[in-house]
Amino acid sequence: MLLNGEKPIIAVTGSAGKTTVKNLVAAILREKWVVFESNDYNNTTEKTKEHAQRISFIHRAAVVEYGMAYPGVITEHCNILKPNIGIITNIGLAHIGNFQGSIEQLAAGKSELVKGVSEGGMFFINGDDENSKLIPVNTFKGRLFKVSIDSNSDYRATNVKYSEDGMVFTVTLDDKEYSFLCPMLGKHNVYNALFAIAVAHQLGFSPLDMQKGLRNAKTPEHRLTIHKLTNGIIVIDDTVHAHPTAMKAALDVLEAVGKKKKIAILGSMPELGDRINEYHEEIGRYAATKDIDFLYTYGNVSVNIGIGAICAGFPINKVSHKTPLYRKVMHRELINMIEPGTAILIKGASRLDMYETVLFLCDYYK
Amino acid sequence: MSLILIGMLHHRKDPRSVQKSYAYAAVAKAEGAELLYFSPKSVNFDERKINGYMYIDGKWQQVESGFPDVIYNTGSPEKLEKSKEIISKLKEEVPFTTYSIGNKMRVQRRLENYGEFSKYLIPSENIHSTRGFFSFLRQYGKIVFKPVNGHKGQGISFIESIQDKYHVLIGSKSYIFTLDEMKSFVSNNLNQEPYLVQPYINCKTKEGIAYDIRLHVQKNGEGKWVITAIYPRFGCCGSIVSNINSGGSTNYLIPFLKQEFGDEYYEVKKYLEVFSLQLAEHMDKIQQEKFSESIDELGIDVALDDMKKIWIYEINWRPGCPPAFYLELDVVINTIRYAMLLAKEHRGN
Repeated sequence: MLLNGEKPIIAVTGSAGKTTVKNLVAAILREKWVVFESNDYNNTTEKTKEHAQRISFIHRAAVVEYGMAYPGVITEHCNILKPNIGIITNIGLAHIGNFQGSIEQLAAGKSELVKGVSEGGMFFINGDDENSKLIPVNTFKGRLFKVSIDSNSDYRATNVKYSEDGMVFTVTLDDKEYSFLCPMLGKHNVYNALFAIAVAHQLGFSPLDMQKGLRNAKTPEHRLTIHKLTNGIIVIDDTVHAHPTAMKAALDVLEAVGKKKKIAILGSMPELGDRINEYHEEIGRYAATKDIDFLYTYGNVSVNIGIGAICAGFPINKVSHKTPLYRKVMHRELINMIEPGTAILIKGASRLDMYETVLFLCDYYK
Repeated sequence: MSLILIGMLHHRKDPRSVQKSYAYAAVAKAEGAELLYFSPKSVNFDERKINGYMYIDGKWQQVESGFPDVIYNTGSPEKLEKSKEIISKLKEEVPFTTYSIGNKMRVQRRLENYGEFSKYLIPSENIHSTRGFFSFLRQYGKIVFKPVNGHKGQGISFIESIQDKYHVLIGSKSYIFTLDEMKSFVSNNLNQEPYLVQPYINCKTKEGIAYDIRLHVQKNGEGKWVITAIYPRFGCCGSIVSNINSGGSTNYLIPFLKQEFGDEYYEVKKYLEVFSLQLAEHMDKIQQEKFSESIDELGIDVALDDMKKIWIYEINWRPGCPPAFYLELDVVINTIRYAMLLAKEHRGN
């Protein structure tokens, strides 16, 4: 019997995409069930205690987000509320500073979920993510499923395309191909949707439930949100988080969505440990491979993004570094630079208040 | 001993405007009793007389009568409210068949407090502000929004979050609201009357048509609970309100259960029957303990989820007649016999 007849308790952890995966899983399960869903970003153990109390007989399943800022935290989450379905979205660099800057240590931390999920349960990981290979899934006493785009797996997305409404892709379920729309941009959101499709499929939901659930899902604010302004000007608002993986994903979106001039404004990334400068330079090198017309770096450490870009061959006169004191200067420069059809990506952690720039442009070109 | 005289109390003066009055008069006669139809204003306490109607020789005829032995009180509670004093004076002397169990929220809280059936209750919350509404909607994604005092499916809407908009079903009409439209819809309704919200339980046929099940139970001539009818009701054109009065349709129970549950149909049917009777007894016990009153009839609206678990939407104390194909006068026979039982008990005292 599925999960020994117990209520599905789905725990989502990982470096990026936890909240989105949680939202998408809940959106699909809600097509048929009454679902408990933890509030966005409420992922501390204190919150998990509250959730354990609030999950009641009315809920046919629960979807919760387990955050992990330090080693041992996931084990603690699982002791409070034991999941029978675990999802590790990916393993990137978020909070690596608290793990002696080591990706192995960080993977070990996430892997606490492998032990935390009940025997006979299910586990879902990203088959394309190199770091996820460090998860000791062979110790898991249950069924393991992988999602992927680039490699073969249990749930693989093909024909992945960007559209104005989000990502469009195809998945084969029970030997039949189905097309899906995930109303969020970026390849990473295809992985997020795949996790939701995989879990729902294992819980017996129909492809139609999945298609409807995904389409109706609430899109998180300031997460690659597209603002269509006057004269075909597009602003891509991504002003909540800034991890290297998410930075690259945002640059991919800018390149895919922008039709004419493309401007990237990238903020500095916090909590990256000793190798913080290196990680910034790497983003710069990545940006240099993209078809981008101008690069702003914003906030102290972000200067290293520019250095990386220039070293990789990005024209030096197309890079400008700004600290928050010079926000208004940047706004004036932007107005001079923006032409009809220009796409502007604004990406950075919420503490940098880069949403101010989004608001400024939305107001100026309304 | 003289024949038992059953009073049928209704807010309308003339029985010819109350379709079911004929059936009650006919069954009363067939059961060896007599029926006096009357409205509150026709009661004269000084002379202890009632100017009512009796069905004699093929027509309703005006008669002056003494007080009946028992009163089957029916008609709209809101309209009868105007004659509250007359009714409560009558209640002191003559037993009534029907007592109010209170509005939806009161029934819900009472059942929660007693505990036995609380696990079948769909959580309900009173809504006082748009903020409360949106917080509940965020929690459940799909909810039912309905007047606390509503009946017959009126004023019920189903609301679903779709990205940053809202899909709203009102009766059989479907709308897409923006946040501002949603807010004004909720606050306009809240300004008119109290509302409650419930999470929506997905109860759909294999073909995806929303339905609920009405469990209609009554007390019979021995004062025992019996099942009058159990029948599914379907929402029209994607509407979630499957109340017949709002344009839904019904179907026979057994073919329906066979179609939906295959070989398990019999267990599901038994489950629904046993549940109806147990809940009715429980409600009756609560009414006795809290108000020293007896309940005579209940219409319980339930959903069955994908695990075939029962969920209670609401409990109605004046459920109205089941649809035509069940009209074997069962409802009327039970009411008349139960009224006669009350009359005999009253005489015995």
